[in-house]
Amino acid sequence: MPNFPWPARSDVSSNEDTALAALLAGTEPPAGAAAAGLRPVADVLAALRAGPASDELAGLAAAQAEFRQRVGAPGRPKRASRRRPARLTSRLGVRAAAAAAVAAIGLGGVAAAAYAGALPASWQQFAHRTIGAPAGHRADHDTPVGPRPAGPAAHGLCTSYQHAVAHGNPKEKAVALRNLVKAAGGPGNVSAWCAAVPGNAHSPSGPHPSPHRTGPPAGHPSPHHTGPPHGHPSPPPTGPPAQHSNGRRMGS
Amino acid sequence: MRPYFWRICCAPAAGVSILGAVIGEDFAAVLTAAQRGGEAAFSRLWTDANPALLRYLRVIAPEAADDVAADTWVQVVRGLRRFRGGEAAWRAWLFTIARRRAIDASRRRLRRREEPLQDVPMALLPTTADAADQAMEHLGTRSAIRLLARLPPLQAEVILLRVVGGMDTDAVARMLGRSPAAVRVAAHRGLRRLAQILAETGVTL
Repeated sequence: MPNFPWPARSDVSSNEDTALAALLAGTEPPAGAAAAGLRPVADVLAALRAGPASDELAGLAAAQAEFRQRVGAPGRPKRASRRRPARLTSRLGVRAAAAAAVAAIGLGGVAAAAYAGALPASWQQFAHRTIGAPAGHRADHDTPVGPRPAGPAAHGLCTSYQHAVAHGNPKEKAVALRNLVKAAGGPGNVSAWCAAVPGNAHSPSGPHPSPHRTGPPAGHPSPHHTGPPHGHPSPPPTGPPAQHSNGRRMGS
Repeated sequence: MRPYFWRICCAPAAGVSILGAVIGEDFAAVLTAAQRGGEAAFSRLWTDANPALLRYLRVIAPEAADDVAADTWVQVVRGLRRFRGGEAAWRAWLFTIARRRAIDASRRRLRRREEPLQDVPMALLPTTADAADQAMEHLGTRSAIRLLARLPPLQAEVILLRVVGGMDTDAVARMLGRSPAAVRVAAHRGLRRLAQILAETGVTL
């Protein structure tokens, strides 16, 4: 840019601009005629910058209240960070929480049904694999329910069975009878099986009242059966099915 | 370094803060403390900025200055935790919010007169500045605000943002959506106009 000599008017204007800029910035203006002429303006700006008046600080309490409500309180710096999740929860709405609660209750109900063995077969199997619920009908094999024919209950079971047969209504669905049938290897074998149980030899209604047990349940139960310490029933005719041990392993 | 007039007319008493005497080096720590819920830190930010906000608002929204200032702080508190920046950005943020709230209030209440104030006869000048400033203890500050209100709105606003808001030309330009040159020109014209008014009326603070 060519270096033209500035006219006097521009010098004045430039000096004045410099002085005005200094006034605005709050810095020391250069000494000179321009600054001297702006002295009243400088006083006005200084008055604008004067310290706060009491009425200008009157709103502090209200602002602090707003601050406490929105951001936090002194001495409790984590309150603000705790507020956010709360607001988030409220924003997500009660619906989500309600849905979650319903789902939890529903799942709880399903789980309860699963442990009760009351689910449809496929569901029951799924529950068995996932949460260790009884594996449906095989649960009869897996989890001993009711008196065990292999144990000391054999005598009582057989007595009860024979009594029921004598009265013509053996409750085949009864847990005890079911176990007995299972131990005997079938409904038709119960009488024979019971005949082999000590103490049932003279059963009045037993079709095979043989006192000397030679029946199919060879070796089981022991004639001198007095309650073996091994609690696992292993009925001789059927034996534990392959799925038995499998299911048990998977379930546990 | 303070301007000479500071020492003459407005040298601060001990412990009395001066507008524009900003928080400075402590600002980052004060802001962080306030964002973490420290009420003392927030109070310091408020005390530092609220008088400046009020003086600005008493010119651009004379009838609603206190309401707009309170409204501004509500907005500031809501956005406080998300704010990032230094003290210059902080001040720009505060005054930007205040300006928006003032514009909203003016539109809502239809109180802001758009005609240039210097064309209005002195007798018709709004007296709201007097009413709003009745409790103001500083006669000089009250008079200064009243004088600024006699400038064209843009000139008065630019001067206030620079002098009271402590913002530089570029920050004011960004806030007002104008070029820095336009802001500089408006400020200088306003100061010249102010000098002219002072010379004509013989007002001294």
